Amino acid sequence: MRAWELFRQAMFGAARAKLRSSLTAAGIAIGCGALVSMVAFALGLQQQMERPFKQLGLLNDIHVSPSRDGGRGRDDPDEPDADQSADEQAAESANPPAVLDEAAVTAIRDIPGVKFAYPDLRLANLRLAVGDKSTRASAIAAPRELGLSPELASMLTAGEFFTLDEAPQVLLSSELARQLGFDDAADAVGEQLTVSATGLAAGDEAGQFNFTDKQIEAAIVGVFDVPQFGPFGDSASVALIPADLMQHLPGIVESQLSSMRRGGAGAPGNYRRVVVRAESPAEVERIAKKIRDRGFHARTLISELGDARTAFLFLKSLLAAVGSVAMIIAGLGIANTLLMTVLERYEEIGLYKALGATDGDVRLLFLSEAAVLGLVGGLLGLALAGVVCWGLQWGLTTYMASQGIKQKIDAFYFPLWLLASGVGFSLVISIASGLYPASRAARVEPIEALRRA
Amino acid sequence: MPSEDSPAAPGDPPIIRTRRLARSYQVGESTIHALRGVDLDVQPGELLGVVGVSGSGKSTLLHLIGGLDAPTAGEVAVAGQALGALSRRARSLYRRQTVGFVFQSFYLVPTLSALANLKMALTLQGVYGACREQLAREALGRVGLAERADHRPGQLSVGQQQRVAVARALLHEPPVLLADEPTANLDSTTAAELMDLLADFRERLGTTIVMVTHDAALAQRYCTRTVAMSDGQLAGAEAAP
Repeated sequence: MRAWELFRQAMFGAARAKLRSSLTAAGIAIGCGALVSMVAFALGLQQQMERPFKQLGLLNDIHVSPSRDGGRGRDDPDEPDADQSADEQAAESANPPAVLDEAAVTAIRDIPGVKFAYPDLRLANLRLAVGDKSTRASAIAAPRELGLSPELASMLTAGEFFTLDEAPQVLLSSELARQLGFDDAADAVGEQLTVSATGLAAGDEAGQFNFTDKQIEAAIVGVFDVPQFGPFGDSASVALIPADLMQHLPGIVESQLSSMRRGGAGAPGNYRRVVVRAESPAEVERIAKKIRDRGFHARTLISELGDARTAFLFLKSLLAAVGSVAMIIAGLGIANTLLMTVLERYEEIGLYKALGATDGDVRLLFLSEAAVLGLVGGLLGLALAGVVCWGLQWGLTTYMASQGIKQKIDAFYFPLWLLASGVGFSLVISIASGLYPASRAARVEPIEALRRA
Repeated sequence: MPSEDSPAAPGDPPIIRTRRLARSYQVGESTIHALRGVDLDVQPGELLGVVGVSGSGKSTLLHLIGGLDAPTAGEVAVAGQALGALSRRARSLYRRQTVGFVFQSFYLVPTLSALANLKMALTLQGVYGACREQLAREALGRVGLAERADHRPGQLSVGQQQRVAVARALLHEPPVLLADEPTANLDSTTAAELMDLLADFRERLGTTIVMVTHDAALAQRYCTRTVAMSDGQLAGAEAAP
């Protein structure tokens, strides 16, 4: 029988006992709705936790630092290695660590899947001035390519990211813009800013450093809200400066010298940390491995979130299992409904068989009826889940607003795959529940059934 | 009235052949022998009447020929197919393609219209869409019920219901039509109309018809040959009237 004809016959069969079919489909709808809502809740929590990282593209980031053990894991450059044994130190002196300089960064940029890589440079004590207004600020270097990341658009409250040429530009946090007299962030965009930095800068000769005061003029191209997560720390008074511009400001070498004092790979021209952004989170571990193979230490947020993800996986599995119980109970309802249908239509089944229906035809007909109940129930279940979750979300938002919490929390997340899985699982459970009744219907002997009529 | 001559030429192989055909049922401790070694040949195009009292085994014989039941002993072959050798699926396909059934109780699906009953049967034959609609309407037209296509069985007289059943049985123009007491629920006028209809189909399509009836007079009047059954055996053959 053609699929469409089978569907029509199944719809017709289900419609013959409207109330019973409706109640059975309602059972499936409740099961599917419970399953989808509960998984959507777990996904919503996970989404809520990961969203800030995703928005900043941090799940794509790899933090690279020089390694003293060839990239085998222990060596955050900020951590002293007091427990290192004499043998290990001897081994290190025999195998000098890989140098994280501009050449190494260029080589890392050439790894397939790398979107961009830039040294993580920071300055803590800058003075910014617009006209007669000035303020203190910290600065973080950012690659000009960062503006190409669509996920960062949500950070900007006015203006845009850096252009890709070498124009002197700067992005201010909303707080900095306010301190400089711009109550409306949009007013700051296009203004000229004077950046003053004081500190050590490399001299003309190797190993020579001079204490220098330097000023540069830069255009304010955008204003951003400092996210709660990411590389910005607690400071709200922070500016983003293009990495190529930042490298020429005095004070950068001080952190390199500080690293050198601790016996690490720090030296003028060497970086303490480089941020590498992969094209996608799926590429991160592969790229990190390649970087480790080159003798560097590579740390990824995605692996550090692994434990949290495992916990969420457990939560999702648990809630899915609870939802599945509801679905299985609904499946028993389908089995019951179809068994009653087989008994009620016993003579009719006999007639079909007398007219030439094979066991397979009859089995397929009843399985189709089960599938139709599952499909209708599954779709209703999605609608039910949507309504229930909308209600709960509304309640949560209202409650949070009443408590003065402005942050928006999306407690439920419905990806397409979840909706498809909900309906798919309803179908599978329904068809599985229909197997026994369909098999009984298929085994009906026509002569027995017609005699009973 | 039907033609008295069978379309089959003398010496043609029978379209239906049974040899030592037996069917018994176990009811508790006792065995009931519904059919006890029946040898029967039916030539193509015959309208064979099988008469006998209730319980004589005539319906059992019809069910075995129709592949609705399986013999406990003996052989039955229809249109060259030995039914005993057929699998369950092959027997279903045999019923679908080779035979048509007309039952005493019509067995129309009560929730479907006359047209839908016929379309349902065509669906089992693998006929769909506009072609199915057209064939079903034509079949209803042939039994004079074109105007009642949308009526459900409950809205038709018993004679009309039986005519719908005949239309359904002949939809796919099977070589063999098996009718089990088709006139038992009809008055004499309606029964005569139905028999005229069957005889007409036999004449036009060359369909071989085996009709089981307890009405010997009706069989004598319409059938090309009549056999009587008693206690699960053929009591003797009678010549065509």
